[in-house]
Amino acid sequence: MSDNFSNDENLQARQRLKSFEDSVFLHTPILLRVATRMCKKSGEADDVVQETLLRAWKYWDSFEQGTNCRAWLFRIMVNVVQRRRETIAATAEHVSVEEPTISNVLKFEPKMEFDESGAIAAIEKLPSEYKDVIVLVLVEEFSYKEVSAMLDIPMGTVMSRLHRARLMIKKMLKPLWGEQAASI
Amino acid sequence: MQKLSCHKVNDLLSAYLENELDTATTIVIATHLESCKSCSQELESISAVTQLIKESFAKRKDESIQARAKTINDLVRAEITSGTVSTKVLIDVKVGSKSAEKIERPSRLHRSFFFKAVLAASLVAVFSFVSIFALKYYGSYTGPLLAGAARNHRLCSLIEETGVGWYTGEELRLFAEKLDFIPPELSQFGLKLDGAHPCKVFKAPFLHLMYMKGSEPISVYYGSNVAVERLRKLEDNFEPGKIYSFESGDVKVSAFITSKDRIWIVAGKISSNEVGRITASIKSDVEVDKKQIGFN
Repeated sequence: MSDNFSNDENLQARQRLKSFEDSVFLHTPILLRVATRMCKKSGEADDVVQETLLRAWKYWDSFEQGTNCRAWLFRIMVNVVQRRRETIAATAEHVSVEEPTISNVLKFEPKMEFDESGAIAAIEKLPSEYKDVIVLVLVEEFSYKEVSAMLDIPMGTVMSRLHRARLMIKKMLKPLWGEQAASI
Repeated sequence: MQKLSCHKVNDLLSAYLENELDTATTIVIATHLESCKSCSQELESISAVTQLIKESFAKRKDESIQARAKTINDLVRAEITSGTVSTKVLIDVKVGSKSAEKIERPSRLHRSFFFKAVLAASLVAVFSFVSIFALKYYGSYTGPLLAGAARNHRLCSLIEETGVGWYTGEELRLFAEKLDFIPPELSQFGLKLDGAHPCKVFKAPFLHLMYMKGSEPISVYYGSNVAVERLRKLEDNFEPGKIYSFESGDVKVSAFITSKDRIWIVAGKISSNEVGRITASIKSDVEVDKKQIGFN
C-alpha cells in the first residue's frame, strides 16, 4: 500500500502539517479567550475554536504566507460564531426583529460575585454585534483596522458601534452605581 | 483649521481615545476639547467606562485557557492526521474579504469524465496514504465496547439519581480513599464529581465515576489491566495511545488504553468535541503530565 506513495509526498504532507502547527497553534489561547467572551455557553467556546482550527486547516493552502495569520484566524472564527448564532436564531421559538436600541438593553442583573462593577454583565447584555466590537477593541486591544478585517465591516462601522456600545454600557451602569457614577 | 461641532466630536471621542484618528483630526479634536467643557466631560466619562471594562475583564480568571488550548491543539492535530479533514484551494484569501473561506476555485474539468476518473483514482490513493501516514491518534472503531459504555451510561445515570448502589458525598471520599483511587480533576470542563460505583461493561470490571456538568451526568469509566485483558478477548483492534470515538444516539463516547494497559472511557449527552476534549485531557494527564490518577 505504501508503495503508491513516494517519500517526497510523505515529506511534503508532514511539512505542510508542521507549517500549519507552527503558524496556527500559538494563536489558540487568544482565540479561546476571545471565543469565551463572545459565546454564551461555557463549553461552546472550545467547540468554536476547534471548528475554527479545522476550517483553517481545510483552507491552509490558500493562506498567503507572511500575511497576518492571527487576523485570518479571527476572521474564520467570527464566521463560525456568526453561523452558530444564525442557527440558534433560526431554531429559537421567538426571534426578535427589533433593532437594538439603548432602551431595550437596559434591563439586566449583574453577576456581583465576580463583576463588582457590573461592567461584564452589562457587556453580556449588549446585542452581539456591539459586544464583539467591545471585546475585540477594548479587551483584546485589536486595532480598528484589524477588527474591521475580522468582522468584515468598514472601519467607520467599527468606530460607530464602539461608540454606541460605550454609551449603552454607560447608561446601564449609571442606575447601578447611583451617586458614585456621577463621574461617568 | 477645520472646526467640528460638539455632536461630531462626541462621535469621534472613542476613536480619539484609542488613537485611531489621523493626525489632523486628532489635533482638531484636542483643540476643541481645550475650549469645550461638556465634550471634555464626555471624554472623561467614556474613558472611565473603558477603564472599568478593562479592569473587570482583567480580574476574570483565565487560568484554564492554556490547558484548554493545548487540548484543542491536540485534538485538531489528531483529526488532521486521521485524515477526516480535507483541504480546499481558494481563489481569494485576503483577510477581510467575504470570500476568505467560501469560494472554491472553479474548474472546467469539474464535469468531465476524465476528471471524475482521476478523482476516483486520487481518492483511492489518498485513502491508502492516510492509512500509512495518519491514524496516529484516532482509530476506527467497530467493536461493542463503546456501545456498551453508552448503554451503561444511560442506565447508570438513571440509577445514580436514586443513589442506590452509588457512593456519593462523604461515602464517595471514603470509598476512593479506601481503594486508593484518585479521580481525574475535570473542573476545567465545568465537571464536578458526583458519585462512583463498581460497574461491568461486557462483563469487564470498571470503576464508574459520575460527574455532573450542571444537571447533565457525564460518565468516566476506569478499567485496570484485568478489564483490558478481558476486552482484548472481545476485540483486538484497540491500540494503546489512540483515542476511539463512538456515537449511540445522543450519547457520545470516547476511549483510550494507556501504555500501562489501563482503559479510560468518557460518555455523555454532550457534543462529540467535548467528549473528545475530556478524554484527551485525561490522556494528557496520564501520559504527558504523569499525574497520579486512577489506581496507583
